[in-house]
Amino acid sequence: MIELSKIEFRYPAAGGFKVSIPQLAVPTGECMAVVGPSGSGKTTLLGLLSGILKPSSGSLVMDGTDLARLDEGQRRRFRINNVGQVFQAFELLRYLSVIENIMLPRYIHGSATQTSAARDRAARLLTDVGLDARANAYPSELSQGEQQRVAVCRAMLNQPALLLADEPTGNLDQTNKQNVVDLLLEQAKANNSTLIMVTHDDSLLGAFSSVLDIQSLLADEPRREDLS
Amino acid sequence: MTGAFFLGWRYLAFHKLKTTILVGSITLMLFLPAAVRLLVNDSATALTARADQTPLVVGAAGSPLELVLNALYFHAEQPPALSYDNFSELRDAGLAVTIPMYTRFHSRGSPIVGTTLDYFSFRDLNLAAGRMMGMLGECVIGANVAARHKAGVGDSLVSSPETVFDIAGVYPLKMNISGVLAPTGTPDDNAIFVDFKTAWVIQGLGHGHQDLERPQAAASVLNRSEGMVTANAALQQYAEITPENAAEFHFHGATGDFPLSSVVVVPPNEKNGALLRGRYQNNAKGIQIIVPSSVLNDLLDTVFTVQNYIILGLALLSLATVAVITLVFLLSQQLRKGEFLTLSRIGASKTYLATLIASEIGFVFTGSLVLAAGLTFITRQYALQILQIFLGF
Repeated sequence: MIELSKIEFRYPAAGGFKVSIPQLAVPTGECMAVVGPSGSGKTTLLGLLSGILKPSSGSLVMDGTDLARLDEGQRRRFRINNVGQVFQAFELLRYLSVIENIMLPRYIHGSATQTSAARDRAARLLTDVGLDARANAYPSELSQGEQQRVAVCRAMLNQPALLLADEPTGNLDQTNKQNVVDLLLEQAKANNSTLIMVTHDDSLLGAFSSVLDIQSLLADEPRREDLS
Repeated sequence: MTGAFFLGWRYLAFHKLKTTILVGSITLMLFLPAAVRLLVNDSATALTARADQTPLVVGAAGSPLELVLNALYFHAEQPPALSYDNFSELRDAGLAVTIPMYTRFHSRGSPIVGTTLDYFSFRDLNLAAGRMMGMLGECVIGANVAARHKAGVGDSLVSSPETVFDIAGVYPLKMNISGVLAPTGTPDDNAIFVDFKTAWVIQGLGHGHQDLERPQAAASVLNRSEGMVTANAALQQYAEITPENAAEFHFHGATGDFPLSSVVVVPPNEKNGALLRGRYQNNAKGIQIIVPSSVLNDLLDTVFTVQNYIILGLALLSLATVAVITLVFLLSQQLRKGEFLTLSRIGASKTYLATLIASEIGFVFTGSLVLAAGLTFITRQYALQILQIFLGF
């Protein structure tokens, strides 16, 4: 369960732009799409949920841990262990092979013994997404759809409780868009992860159990449309 | 943090060309000054060691350095010739052991050194196989000559003509190898030693042919007059000295005028040395007597000055290299901002990113250091051979 209460975040370098979230609760295992115009605070919401940003006030409790009370190091460790992220531009490291890219969270925070287990898990994820034959390829040798699948695998490596995806379909054609969304939903369901995905594409909303309009969230009474 | 080292290593391995250029530049930056210093020091040691063992050298007036390089290192440049009479005068003075040296000729790139058996005991040269030369036309070869020409006792070497169309000049003499010297790590390893009279035969001052008094040579006789026999071109001349024809080899002209390159002089004490030096002071009789170590010390003073200039130049070049490498690293960090942001968003700390960059720098510098150390080690191991190749010592 994720619970946000009276959250405020102010960008110091953006003329004091402030995002306020009075109340939001996301049950475990929920697959939620977040929509809203550019600059409305969607990415800020993901930053807060992942612990990259620290709220100025309020509480952000995820499975009993209040991220608002953690220091940067603690939030970083929490993120590594509990949050998987899929970025819009895939952001794979070009000098690592496909399997090494998937294992990146382990290279950042993990021991040698964990690395071996992580390699097995990465190989399984690659098999799940049909890329097991491309394990040693470099990102530049993959199509965009394949790169995005690798990015999803990387986000799923640590079997995160929360999977965040920031417009992961923005650069893809319609077929690949649907494939990525299906993959995210499938992986989230298989792992019982909560999925929160930011998108501008209305055609994808039908696949989610709920849709959150960020503009309504920022008002006192957030509107959450339950699609399930 | 092992993950940061792994990522650093993978980054360098992926960018092979960039990494190779960086490592190569730093390796050269570290290796070149060390190599210059090493080679100069080793060459100075090798030069002075041999010079220190050679008390005095006598030669015709001219360049002292040329005389030392020729007498001690069999250098190709020929000093003005000394006459055999000059040598006889020195020897007959009885003030020192005198060793004649005649180093004008070569065989397939190896210098032929005409001398006497005294030379071998003076330089403490020992045989690895065979015996010392015992007759005209025999030679004893240095260890490197034996290896280079795959030659041993019982084989032969032929002296090379001085020019391609040398019809009347140097006699291409077939020299039989009587012995092979043990290696010494000195220029003696690269030399072919013969009796100095054999060198005169090579020069054409002495030769061997059929005895014109014998009936077999009658067809070659054009004219006989009192005290003189004229032969035609049919007369058989010997290109090899054997026990059978050795007696028929002879010299024409006054032996006292025959040439030598130098004389190594070994006085038994300081007093005799001083007497000899006084006798030939100021190039008396067109002859100079020199102390090789002092000539070489003058040369080395110049070499060390040049070395310091070279090292200064390399230091400036190293500064420029360091500046360029720093620029490359800084530009690289700029270009990798996106990568670092991704790592940071996934969970990498600032310390992790700093470790990643430091590991890359560390790998490059460690690799360069290891390579430079390896090259320096190889240079040290093969310094002598390198010097022999480049300097002919």
